[in-house]
Amino acid sequence: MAATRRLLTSLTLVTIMVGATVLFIFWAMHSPSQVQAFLVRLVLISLIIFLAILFIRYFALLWFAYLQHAERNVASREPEGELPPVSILIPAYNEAEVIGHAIESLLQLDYPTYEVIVVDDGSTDDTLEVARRWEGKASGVEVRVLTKRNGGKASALNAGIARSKYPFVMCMDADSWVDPGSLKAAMPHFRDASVGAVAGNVKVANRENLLTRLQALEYIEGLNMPRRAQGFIAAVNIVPGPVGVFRREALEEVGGYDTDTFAEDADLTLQLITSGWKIIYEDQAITWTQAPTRALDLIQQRYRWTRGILQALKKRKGVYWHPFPDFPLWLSAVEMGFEAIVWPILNVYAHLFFAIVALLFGAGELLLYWWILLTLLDLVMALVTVSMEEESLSLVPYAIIYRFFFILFLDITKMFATVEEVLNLGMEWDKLRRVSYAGAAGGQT
Amino acid sequence: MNVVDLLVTIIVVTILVTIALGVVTYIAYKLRLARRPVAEDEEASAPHFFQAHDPPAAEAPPDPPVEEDDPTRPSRGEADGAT
Repeated sequence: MAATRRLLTSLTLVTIMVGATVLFIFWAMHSPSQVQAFLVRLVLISLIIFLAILFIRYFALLWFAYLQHAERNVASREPEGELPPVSILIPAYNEAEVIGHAIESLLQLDYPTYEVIVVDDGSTDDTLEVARRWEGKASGVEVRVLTKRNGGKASALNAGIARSKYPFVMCMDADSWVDPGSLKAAMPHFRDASVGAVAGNVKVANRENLLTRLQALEYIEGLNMPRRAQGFIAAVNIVPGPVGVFRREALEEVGGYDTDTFAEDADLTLQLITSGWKIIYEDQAITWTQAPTRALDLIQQRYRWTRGILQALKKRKGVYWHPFPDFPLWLSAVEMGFEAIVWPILNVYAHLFFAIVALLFGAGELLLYWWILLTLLDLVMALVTVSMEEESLSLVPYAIIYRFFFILFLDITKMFATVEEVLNLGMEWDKLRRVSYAGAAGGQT
Repeated sequence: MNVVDLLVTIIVVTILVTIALGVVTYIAYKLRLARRPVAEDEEASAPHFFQAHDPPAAEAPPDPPVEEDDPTRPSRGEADGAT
């Protein structure tokens, strides 16, 4: 019943939004010439404002990302002194297909002392049995497997933190695997006692179709580039679930993960920033993850991300009116709010608006120049960011359809998710389909 | 039709089709959610972490224990099942 009610509400929302757009088109077509002239002027002004926001956003991110990249290249990447021991946590709910691959990758880490803790969150498949195969001492590394009643990812991570014994904690997802040098690259940042967490570099492993290749480009250009830019001011606003290393003291100070949002990673990061901890980005702390291969799974993932981030922001809505003294938190919240709410809605309506105006008022040439300009910008951004990440240049041409197809497609879902979150509609954590890595290996890069 | 008109047509059609595709996919996702198989005892087995529950302090039960996995214990399905 609840699911049907949510479906009906969602359909009503879609009908209202589509209906409003259609009504606007009819009104514009049948309005007097003065009104039409006014609309054309409005389009021009909107176009200029949209482009200004887009350019400022892109170039600010690119500039800070470049500064962070340059700084990292100058600074020594070699760890000095003894590396502290680390507890690595893998929360797992119905991850039997992939958990073994994640554990195996951890056993290959180039790091002196660490333990691996798998927290089975009441799985209904063979996750626990599969994880048990590595229990004990594997390759000289202590592997422990805990099991608990199902309580969600945040609860599983909290349980793991409580049972871990080392002063630093790395959290990763069960559908991911780490590069051997990841931990060694991340840990030297903790020489600065004010660093509470290090966000790693998440990359798409299964680049097997158009959708996953576009996501591979999106992770580089749309997720890692902003994270790199935020890293320059030590205020990364999301330590990603697939790879993040935390100082235990910082985790204990904020009380671990809250269980009241669907984006526990974003929520915890904002908590850490609120408590005054610096959050750093380390591009060599690489983790490979499995991206959704089907459109509906991708929509499901982004719907959850968007609503989760909005839930984390709603918990701190008061911060928007008080930029000082907590300026890093204010900046992070503003940026998250802009990326999660303002930009997707602006993007969808700008595209729709310009397409309609081009059709109705013959401003097609304007639309063409706009498209060429943005596509060139995307190509340049893709080239720069792919080079920074030392990734395959074969991803760059995907930038041509990146904005006008992929981002626009995702922004529709983000827009609906935003409306649903504002209306406080219920939601559930719908598990993404996993593919075993034996089958996905062909797509690895 | 000259090249500019052709390109403009392609761009406009792409934008409108992508937006329509996005709306349809969102509806399809919602339909899939509503029509997914539901177990009879779903209420009992559904993850409970997102249901706000704030019992009075005196009646609040302790957090579920985290068990170090013991190879000798019965299989999890028999022991507690998923909730």
